[in-house]
Amino acid sequence: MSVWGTLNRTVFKRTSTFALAVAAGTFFFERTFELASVGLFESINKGKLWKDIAHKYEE
Amino acid sequence: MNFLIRGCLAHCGRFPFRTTLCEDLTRKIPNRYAKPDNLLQSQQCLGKLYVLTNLTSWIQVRFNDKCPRLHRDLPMPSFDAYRKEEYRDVRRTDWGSGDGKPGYSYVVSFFGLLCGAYAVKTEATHLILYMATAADVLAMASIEVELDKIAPGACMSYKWRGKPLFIKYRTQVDIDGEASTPLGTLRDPQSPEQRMVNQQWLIVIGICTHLGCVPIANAGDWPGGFYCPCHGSHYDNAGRVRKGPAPTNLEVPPYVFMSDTLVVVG
Repeated sequence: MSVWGTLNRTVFKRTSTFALAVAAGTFFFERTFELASVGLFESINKGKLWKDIAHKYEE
Repeated sequence: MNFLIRGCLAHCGRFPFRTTLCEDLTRKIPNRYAKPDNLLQSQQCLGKLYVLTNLTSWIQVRFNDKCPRLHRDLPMPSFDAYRKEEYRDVRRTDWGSGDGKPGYSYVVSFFGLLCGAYAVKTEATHLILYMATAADVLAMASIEVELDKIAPGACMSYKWRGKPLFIKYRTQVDIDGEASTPLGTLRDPQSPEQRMVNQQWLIVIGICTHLGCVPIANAGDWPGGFYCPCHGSHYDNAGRVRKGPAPTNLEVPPYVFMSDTLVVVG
């Protein structure tokens, strides 16, 4: 059977395992989402952030 | 609010129908889903043409199981035309049926639920943290005191959250003098160990527990103690009330020693 079929049979088909998978997946989703959004913010504001100009004021 | 419609109050809750709503069941409804005919024929209604409805009626008229049957005259539609052959008869399926399916629709809802759980968690955290004390308020709510500026036996007063704060350097004579005071003789029995982290430093709020005057340090009948000039309460050098109208000992604020000479109050 395919990988999708195995995943469906072992995880998705039963509500308890599906809910567990969602709860566990949320941790990784949250971390990934926040890293990505911070990265987007810093790429848009490149040159305006403290870490870009800190070398002028700190020795 | 079924009892309000169609002037049914004027009919004393007797809700008349001009036709039997089940009548249409005898007519064949053209339906693209295959449906057996016997479903349509068994529900013909020839009985009474009204339902009783009032404020105390327990069952809503739409659930009336006798005639007229409101909105239950339409049989459940069949979606068998959309089902695959092996799943069409539900009695022939079991838990293992469809194990070979990839379950892509589960993946869609899986990611939807991930987003939903993340959103709920973020919103809840935001709401709860918003109710917490602001950082600037927290920063103003505690003070640091350098103890090496206080002479032995002296009592310094500071302002902490709008109240006077007394910090007294207790000499060894002070400590020894109150170490063996029997608790039974006190109005508010507390040992010096209960009132002080370090016996050398007495840290109390300088407000008399009687009516809120500020006591005078190193005054009164007890050596190294406090005396309230308003109504004559005497406190000993551990801040415990010994004489006068004050009901309780001087209040001890929360504090932490960061080092031997630095204390953070609040």
